[in-house]
Amino acid sequence: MGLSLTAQAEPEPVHNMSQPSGQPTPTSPPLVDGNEVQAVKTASRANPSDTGVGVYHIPTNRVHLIPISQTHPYGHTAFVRQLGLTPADCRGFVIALAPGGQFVVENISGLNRGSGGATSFQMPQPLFDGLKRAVIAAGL
Amino acid sequence: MTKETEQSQPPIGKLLADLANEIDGIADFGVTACLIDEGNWAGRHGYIVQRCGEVCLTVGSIVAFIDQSAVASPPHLLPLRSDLVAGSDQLLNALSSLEHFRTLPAEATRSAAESLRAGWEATHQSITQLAAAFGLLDESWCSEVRERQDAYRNGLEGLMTWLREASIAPCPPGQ
Repeated sequence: MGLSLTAQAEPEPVHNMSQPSGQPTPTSPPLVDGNEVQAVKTASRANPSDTGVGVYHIPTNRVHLIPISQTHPYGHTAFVRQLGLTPADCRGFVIALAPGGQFVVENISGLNRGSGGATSFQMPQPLFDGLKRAVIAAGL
Repeated sequence: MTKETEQSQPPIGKLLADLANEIDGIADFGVTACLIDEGNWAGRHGYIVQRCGEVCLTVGSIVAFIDQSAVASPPHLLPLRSDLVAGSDQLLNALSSLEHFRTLPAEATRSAAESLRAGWEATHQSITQLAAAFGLLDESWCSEVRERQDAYRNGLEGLMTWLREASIAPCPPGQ
């Protein structure tokens, strides 16, 4: 018997997502810089191990993206520190280049612990779906 | 250590700081990488191999530094050297196991996760003890590593939480 990642949480409406800093609930799509999306895509195409690290900052409704090779130490925690943000205000995801050549957005990060997702590495699915749509719309 | 060797070696402080960065990266993104399906990330295995390689290389350089300075060093450096090698081996072996958690028995996965946490703690302890032995505890990298430890320790605790909450599913046949 092995472990699977199939657990599902009760879906939450995006407009009800929790706001750890008490800011108003965002009603507009998350802000994503298309240049950051392109930088992640370029790095991953040059080296598939150089995957994209995504951080969503809840208070500003802003997504930050960077290739993993530019975080130090590697990972979401370091990226949040580099940005000068508070981990509790952030959620994380990964943009990876799949073997077929398409980009995949993964709902997974140690930042998501306690955020109400299906597992401690996942944010709530409706929030993730909104971020994924925004990243795709920004050029992924 | 000869003057020539001293000049060709990176400073021990830099080696220890590099190692601390590598193992904290493993506690964060190394674990995340293991949990991503390889079918969704072409470079996943390469990433894990690369990180393990960097840890091995850095530990090797630290060991070489200790060996080369052993003549002039107090004898307590040698046990620290062994502890460093044992701790980092435990961490890397656990990471390699965790990479294949989907085909491992649940108990083996839990054991790998526990071992990864123990190896990470042991390696950090060695880094601190070596920094103390070489009089480097006041260097800025050392304080930086100390300040961020709780964040990475909490991250590893998140892995343990995930193991408790993950559902048990049968392994695919033949794996």
